[in-house]
Amino acid sequence: MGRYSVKRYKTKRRTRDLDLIYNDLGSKESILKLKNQELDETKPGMGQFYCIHCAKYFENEQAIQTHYKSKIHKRRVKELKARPYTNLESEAATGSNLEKFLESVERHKQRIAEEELHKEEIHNLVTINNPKIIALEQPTPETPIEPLDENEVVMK
Amino acid sequence: MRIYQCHFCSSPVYPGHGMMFVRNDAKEFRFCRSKCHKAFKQRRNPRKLKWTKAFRKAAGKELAVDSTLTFSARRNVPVRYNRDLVQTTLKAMARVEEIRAKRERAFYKNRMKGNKERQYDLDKKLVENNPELLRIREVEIAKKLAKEEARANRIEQDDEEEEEVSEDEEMDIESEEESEEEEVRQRVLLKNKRQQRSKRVL
Repeated sequence: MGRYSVKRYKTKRRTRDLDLIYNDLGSKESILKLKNQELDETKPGMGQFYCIHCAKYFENEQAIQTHYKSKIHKRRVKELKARPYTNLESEAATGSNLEKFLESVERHKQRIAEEELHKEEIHNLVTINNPKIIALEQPTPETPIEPLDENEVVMK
Repeated sequence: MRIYQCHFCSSPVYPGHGMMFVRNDAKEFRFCRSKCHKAFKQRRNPRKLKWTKAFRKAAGKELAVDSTLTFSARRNVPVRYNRDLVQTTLKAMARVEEIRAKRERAFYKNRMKGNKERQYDLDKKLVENNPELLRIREVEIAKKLAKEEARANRIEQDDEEEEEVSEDEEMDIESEEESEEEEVRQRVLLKNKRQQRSKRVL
């Protein structure tokens, strides 16, 4: 495909939207879930090498590592730093649902601040591609969370 | 009937206009025209395109955050019909709209304040940095004056020496004569036509 090809923009070939990817990257659980996918024959590399930012499957470790160094990936990461454009914003521009929109802006600011704190952790989570390593690490963060939840339920 | 907003440019989408795209997570995207739909498919960011409302609000061209804009919102709790409430709401709508228009006008005036002085300073700077611009103007004026003088001289000369005709002027006269001849021919043709018509009528 050349620089501009209509084929690329057909709705049939629509790839994952930025606001959905933004949500994917929003929580630790969703990142881990996407990084530890089940073996799937229909996906490239059995669905084991997934770049969350670009919503793309790769064949092997090397391919995804070179992808992380590529311009396309870096551009996408930069795009995802901004608040994604949603219908809420288009409505707020006409003066309806303005309060909801302002809330979403506020939430985005908080998220940015949090990400700034856990920058390295998130980076590691997103870029470690061997799912086994994550699978080993996974139980450690999850076990302390679960009893807490139970306690809360008991308290209520 | 509900009037939706275009997902891209925020203009109203009336029933029977534009098109709707439903994403595979069941989110609806309405577009007012093919221009907006195409831009959406090309993944353009409406915040970066100057013709969208989102840009104008994000770039501070229009009043974005204001108490008059917070009234219209989607409320998921239905309101029981009440005659008085409807009446007061209708009254309030007109009043709110009035206040909003006033504030928007004030916002615009404030935004445009000091434009003239700024432009004047810029022009001044430009002239100071490029003094040849002023000289160009002088040269232009001088040329214009010279032309006018030359024309005046020529008219005087023509008055004095009517009989002496230069070659160019002769050519002009010839062409004029030709055109006159053509006119005469046309007139004759017209006359003939009229005569024929009158004969037919008779």
